[in-house]
Order: sequence, then structure tokens, then C-alpha cells
Amino acid sequence: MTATEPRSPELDARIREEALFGRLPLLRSEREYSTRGILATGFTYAVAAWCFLIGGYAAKVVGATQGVVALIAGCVLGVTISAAASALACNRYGIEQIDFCKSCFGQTGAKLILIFYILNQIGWTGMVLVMFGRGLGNVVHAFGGPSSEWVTRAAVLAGLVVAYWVVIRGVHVLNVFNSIVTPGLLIATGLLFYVIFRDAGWHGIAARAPLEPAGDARLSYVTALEYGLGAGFSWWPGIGFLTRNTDTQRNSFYPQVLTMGLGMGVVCTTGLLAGLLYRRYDPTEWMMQAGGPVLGVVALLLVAIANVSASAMMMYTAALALRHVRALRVLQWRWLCLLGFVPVLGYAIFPELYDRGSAFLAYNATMFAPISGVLLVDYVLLRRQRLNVSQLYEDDPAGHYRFVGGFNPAALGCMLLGQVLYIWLLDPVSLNAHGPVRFLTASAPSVLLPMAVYWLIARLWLVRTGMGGYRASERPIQLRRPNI
Amino acid sequence: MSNDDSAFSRALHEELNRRIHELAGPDATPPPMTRGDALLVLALFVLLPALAIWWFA
Repeated sequence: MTATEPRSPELDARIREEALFGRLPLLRSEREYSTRGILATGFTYAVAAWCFLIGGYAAKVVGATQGVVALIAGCVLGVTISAAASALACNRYGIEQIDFCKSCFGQTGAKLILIFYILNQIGWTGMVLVMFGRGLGNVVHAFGGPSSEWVTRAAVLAGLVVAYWVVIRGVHVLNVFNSIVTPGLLIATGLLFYVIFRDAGWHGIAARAPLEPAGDARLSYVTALEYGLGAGFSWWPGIGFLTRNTDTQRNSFYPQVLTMGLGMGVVCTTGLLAGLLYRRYDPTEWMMQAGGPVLGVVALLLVAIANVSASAMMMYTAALALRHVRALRVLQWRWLCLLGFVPVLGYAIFPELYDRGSAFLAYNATMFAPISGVLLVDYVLLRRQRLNVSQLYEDDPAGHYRFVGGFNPAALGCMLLGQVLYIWLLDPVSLNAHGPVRFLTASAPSVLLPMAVYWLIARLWLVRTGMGGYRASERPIQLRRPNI
Repeated sequence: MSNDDSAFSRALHEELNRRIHELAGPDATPPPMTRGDALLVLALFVLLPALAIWWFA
């Protein structure tokens, strides 16, 4: 290796960006978040407009008491499992989440996980943009304008354009949005709690039946719980991005559980209680009822800004993740971002997808519960929290994390087992249930069974044959084919 | 690939190499969570929510 030549300030700035927002490992001295910083950022992420929507979905199937438990406990459990699986490793080595996945699923196998990652980001972006469109449509209607799905379509397109502009300008623009949105949403949540309890009181709300009660109360409770878990697991793609930038292992874990788990769960309950009280699940409809013509419009506009801001953030991380695909790495940033935005156009054409949002919410648990379980066993039990960082960036066939042709069949097979098991237990689209789902839920077996099977296969096959670098040293190895 | 891209790519690989070696140094990574943390997490964030779910079922 030749001696490093001095770099131009422009090149230095690009490298620094690549470390902060790209794939270079972030050194301990460069981490930005201490306890206070990560708590504030976590709340900014967690207090988002979709919380009201998630609460609304729960209001369809359960009453207030079971709904509060299902949402809060579900969010906390989902985030705990997601964070234990990814936050600890991403923080310890300052690595990006898909790079971390390579140690478990293989250099190429991790790109399959990337598909679920991107689908999550695109799905949520589409959902919140339609929510933005419906909200704007209701504001137009409140001022005597037409009430039409075309208003929603136009608003989704406008939201996409604004979000795209923000993403290509850089994530720093989001700080301006967030400085308005987060305090605004916190105030809106507080006001909503006040209005709900003033109008009905706890006993009044607790007596309300769910909006679409099913005959099977036990299954309805499990469904609501899966919505809470789905909300928690939805954070899986974002957790690594945040926690690689925290200073300690504890700060990479506990603040996430408190903000994205407990905090989000509490905000979701606002949507649940409002849905039960105003008999509508969609926040863009009940906000006008709760706040009246003035405060309702203000709240809807706030939600609209929040949704565009959230869309921009998600598409930013999606575009960053697309850089793992070698063929896309040569694209300029603005074209890469545009590529990410194209599938979201589907929501502008078919805004009615928004009405199937509860299925998408449960889909997140379907996908990420087994992934989290397998990652957790691999990193904590099999690797004892140690990785060889150099090998995460090694594409050579002799690299530690190549497994079989770039895939770890054991990890991918166990992930698939968990996903199929989840869908068999509780189909997230039709909500058809089988087996012991009423007693065990769908997520718990989909996490625990792949964990147990993977541990067994890895001990008997991977560790014994020396595949996957399970007993290898952490010392760096000279890279032959860097994949960055 | 333009000259700019090729210079960036070279600088990126150098920087990656430098960081990988720095991460292998003493105290370069935060120490892992302790067994006490694991027990606390299990009790507070797994068993307690599970108990609440079971209680209200």
C-alpha cells in the first residue's frame, strides 16, 4: 500500500459525509449522540403522524383497555427485539445495518434483506403521503372545496416532489422541518388527550365497543397486539442508522426502547382512544371532529408537514441503502434518489392502498420478527458480540462472510421458516388464523422457532466446518476485493 | 468513471482501511453490554410486557 497522499478539502468533506451517512465505519470519537442527543432524536422519529393511524387500526378490533396494553406492550417488545438484534452491533463497530447483516446472511444474502428494508421504507412513505393527501383533501372540503380522490392523488404527487427536493438537498433540511413538527405533534397529542378525556372520560371510552368488532374476541386482541408489534418492528431498518452514531452500548439500546417503544406506544394510544370516541379509524377524519374547524385544520396541516418530513427521511435512508447494489453505486445521488421514489408513485395512482394499511403494518412483523431473531442469535450467542469488521467489506470468495456463494443458507432458511410460519398462523392480509395463534400470537413463534433452529444448525454445521468466521480473530485482514 | 470518481474511490478505500485498523485498536469500540444489562432488559422489556399482555387477554 502506498503512503496516503494529502486530500483536497472537497474530497475530505465527501469522505466525512460517507462516514456519517454512508457505509464507512464511524469511529468512537466521531459519534454525535450522548444520552440527551439520542433521546431527543429518538422522540423526533417516534412522535410521528402514523402513530395516530396505527392507534386507529387497533380501534377497529379492540376496546380501550386491551388496545392500550396491546399497543404499548407490542411497541416495547418489537423495538426491544429489533434493537437487541441490530443496535448493539451497529453501535459497537459504527457500521451500517445492511453491512452488519452480511455477517449473518452472507455478502449476497444481505441484499435479500435489503429488499425487505426498501419495501418497508417505500410502503411507509406511500402510506404517510396518502395520509397527507387525505388530510389535505379534508381541509379543502372543510373550506367548501370538492371532496375527491383526485385531490389526494394530486397531494401525493406534490408531497413526492417536496420530499424528493428535501432528499437531494441533504438531510440537514429535515432539521428545519423537525424543529417545527416534533413540538407541534407533542402539543397536538397533549391536546387530544385533554379533549378525549374532557368529552368522554376514561370510563366513557372504556365502555365503547371496537369499530369493527369480530366474533372472536381473543383473535381481535392478538391482531391488535400484532399491530403494536408491527409498529415496533417497523423501526428495524432505521435503528442501525441511528445507533451507529451513539457513544455507548447502553445509549444505543435503552433510549430506543423508551422513545420508539414506550413513547410511540403512548402516542399510538391517542389514535386508539380518538378512534373509539369519534367512531372513525382514520385520523384525517376524526381530527376535524376532535379539534373543530380551526384547531382541526391546524392539526391536519401539522400532520401534513410531519408526513412529508417523514417521507423524506425514509427515502433518504432507502437511497443510502441502494448503494449496496454494485450497479447502482455509480449513479449520481439525485438519480439514485429518483429511483427510490418511482415505486411510491403507485400510491398516487392507487391511493386506496391506504385502506389496506393494517395489512402492511402486520407485514412488518412478518418480515422483521424472524430476521431480528436470527440476527440476535448469530451476533449475541454464536459470535459473542464480536465481528471482524474488515470482512464485512470483503467480496473475495475467501472472505469470512461469504458462506456458500455469498449466501448463508441456514440463516436465510430459518428466516423464511419464520416468515411462512407467521403467515400460516395469521395471514396479515385476510387475518385468517390457524394453529395456536390465539395463545402464542404470530410474532412470538416466528421469532423463537427460527432462533432455536438456527442456533442448532449453526453449531452443528457452520461452527464445526469453520464457515462464517465464527471462531476467527477480530484482527483486520488486508482487503482483496473491497465492496464499497 | 471520471477522474473525480476514481480519486474518490481511491480515497474511500484508503479511508476504509485506516478506519478498520483503528477499530481494532485498544478502547476503539464501546465495551459490550453486561450480563446485568441483559437480565434487566429481559425482566423490564420482555417479561413485564408479556405479563401485561397475558393479564389483559
